Amino acid sequence: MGLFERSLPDVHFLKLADAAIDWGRESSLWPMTFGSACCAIEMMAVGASKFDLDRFGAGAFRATPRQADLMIVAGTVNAKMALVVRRLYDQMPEPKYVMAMGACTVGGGPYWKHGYNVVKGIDKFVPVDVHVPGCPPRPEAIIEGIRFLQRKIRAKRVLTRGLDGTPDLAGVSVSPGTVGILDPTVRPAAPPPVPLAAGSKA
Amino acid sequence: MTAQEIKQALEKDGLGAGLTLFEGPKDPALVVPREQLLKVARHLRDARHLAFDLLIMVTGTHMIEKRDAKGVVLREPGFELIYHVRSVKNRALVAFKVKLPIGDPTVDSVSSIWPAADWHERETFDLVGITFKGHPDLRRILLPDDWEGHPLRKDYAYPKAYRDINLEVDPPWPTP
Amino acid sequence: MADAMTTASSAAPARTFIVPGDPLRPPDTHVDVRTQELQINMGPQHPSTHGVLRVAIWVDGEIVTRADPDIGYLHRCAEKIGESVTNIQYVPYTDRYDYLAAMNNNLGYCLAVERIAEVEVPERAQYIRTIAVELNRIASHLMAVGTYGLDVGAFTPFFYAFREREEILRILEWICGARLTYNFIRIGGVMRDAPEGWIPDIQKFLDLFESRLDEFNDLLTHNHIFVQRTANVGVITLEDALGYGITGPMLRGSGLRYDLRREAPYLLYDRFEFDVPIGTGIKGQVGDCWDRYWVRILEMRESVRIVRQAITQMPAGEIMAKNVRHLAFKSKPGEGYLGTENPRGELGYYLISEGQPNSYRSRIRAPSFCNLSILGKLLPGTMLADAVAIIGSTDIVLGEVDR
Repeated sequence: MGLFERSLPDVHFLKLADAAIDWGRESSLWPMTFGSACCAIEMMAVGASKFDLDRFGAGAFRATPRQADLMIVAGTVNAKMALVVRRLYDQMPEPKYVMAMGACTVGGGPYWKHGYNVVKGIDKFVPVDVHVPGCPPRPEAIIEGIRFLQRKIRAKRVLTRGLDGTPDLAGVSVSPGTVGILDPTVRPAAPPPVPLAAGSKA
Repeated sequence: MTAQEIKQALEKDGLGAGLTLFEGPKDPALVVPREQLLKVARHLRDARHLAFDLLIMVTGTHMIEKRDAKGVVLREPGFELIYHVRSVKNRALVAFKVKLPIGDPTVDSVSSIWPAADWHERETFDLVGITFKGHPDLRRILLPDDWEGHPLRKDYAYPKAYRDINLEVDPPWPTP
Repeated sequence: MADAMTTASSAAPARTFIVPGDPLRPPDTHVDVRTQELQINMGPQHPSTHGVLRVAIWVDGEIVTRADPDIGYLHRCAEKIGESVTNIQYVPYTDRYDYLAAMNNNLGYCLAVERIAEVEVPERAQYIRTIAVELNRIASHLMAVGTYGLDVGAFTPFFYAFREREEILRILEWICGARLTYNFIRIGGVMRDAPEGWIPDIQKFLDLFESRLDEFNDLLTHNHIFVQRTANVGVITLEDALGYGITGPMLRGSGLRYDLRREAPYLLYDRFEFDVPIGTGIKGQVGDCWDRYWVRILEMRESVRIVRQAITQMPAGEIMAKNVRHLAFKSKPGEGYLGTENPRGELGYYLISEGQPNSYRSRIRAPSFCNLSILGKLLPGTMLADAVAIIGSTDIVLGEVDR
């Protein structure tokens, strides 16, 4: 729910402030360097000079979750690693976004059938904002994923959401049939936090 | 050096007790009885004309019973360990096997002879369930410490969850 | 304090420090400082561990007293999958274990299966395989040296190394469609013949590459700060290396000229002329981090030589064996081991086949798994910053360590 919902009439200034806040958030997404497997190499390639993620504002890869907004989970997550991923997600301050990069994080990837300790999709324990398929996804696909996330953030309108009842989709392209994807009021439900068992060394 | 030559060299040095040769299609291997393993391994490393000093790997396999069409037993159930060791000086590779019975998968550890065996034996213990006597620190290496079961056994059932994490295989998407 | 520490350890090589408890350690006389051994955690999320490696380090001040690598954060059930899917279906999985040198992994597995199933691979396919594998070796070493610079704090050489790497990935993408996980070398041959213009493009790249490598050497290799951080650090003696099963540039960095392409040639390597570089202790001691890094730089030049020779010798012909029926491929019964020279060491596949489409057992001998096992012995006694440099010089790929 928006901050000023139902307390102030529709004020043009708040819409401008909203646009500024969302623009600031989307243009400086700082990813956390968190790659586990092959997709991490493509993430490094997208940060390198040929595909240059920095021109979208997302070039400052921070090693610590405390300073990052975006956790790009690149690579297969297995049972031992899932506890660590969840802990890192909990350590990130709000607003935080999660990108599931690569087929393994989307639904298990090639290990969906015989991987006895592979978690089949990270949305089983962290809420995911954008899924990028591919094995590994091309750097162009990762950039498209970042831009999709930027469109999603642009539609969030922190201050004035809900004031006039409908989400503001001006400037956001929606292809017919994709109802609900860009609806900012729909956020994937966070799963219950995984209790870290005693003696876990992560 | 072929496996046959190594077997002859070992017999000449007095360690031929119980040694047999696995002719097997493709790669022959020496079969060493469990009790002789440490002596044979130490000799393979220390003898000047053998000098097998670079341990390549230790592999454990769970062998299930094999019967042919008439019901005759072709292979008893058990475990099989195979060691591959290279000799840098003699440019050779030796493969020697140890067969273990199904009820007692324990064997001596060769980590005192080749320190590389330390991690390989931990992995074999983790995935196959063979216990190595005399190993300095035998604990799981690849799977979490409180994992149950040994996955590379042929009768392993995939777990549905580990602590609170769901590991189930998703059913295929329903076709419309 | 520096004098007492360095003169007391005259028997030990330079740059190892006296750990607490050693009688030679001078007492802290001027200040009553009591230190406590602290266990810290390096990884599994860490910018410098090349993947999800966790090293539990016990430090006393700045000196590491004990190190215990904890792996398994990327265990993807490789050997179980090898038993559950057919040989043909397993080839894409082999790409993902050492994802920086995926062609080499494909090659090792296909050679092992072809040996047991007695498949004869046509000669043109062998040459295309050699070109692909050596180009991938260059790409893998570029990644290794670029990220090694990143580990010790040099951000710029990483971009230079990636510029070259993108060129190679473009060439490999041209022939097989993928940048990282190729699935190009199949059982019986290769997936696709060299398209028109591929070979001239490789030649143009090779002509450019030597001068770019010299530029990279000026940037990083002989850089005074880099040498200070890597020379005399993490010295591995030859007997330790052999005892711990270390192969590849790590073993060659300790002075032993041992390369499987020479010792047990596979895939036409006996037709090419190339040298095997070893570490000779130019900047420090034999077997230190700088030597291992220097071996990788020199190996890139040797790979360029091999690719040039392969291009001139390549005949026309078929690219896939005739008697491999891909939809119903069944290997012959047998078991065998085949070792190949990966950019990181000896990659081996041990396969037990029973004449079925699936293998009964497929075990991967990963070079990084064995190379990593020496860390428990190598790290104690070094400073924490040196520990990062040592881990970077082992050039591990966690997909291979954990399989």
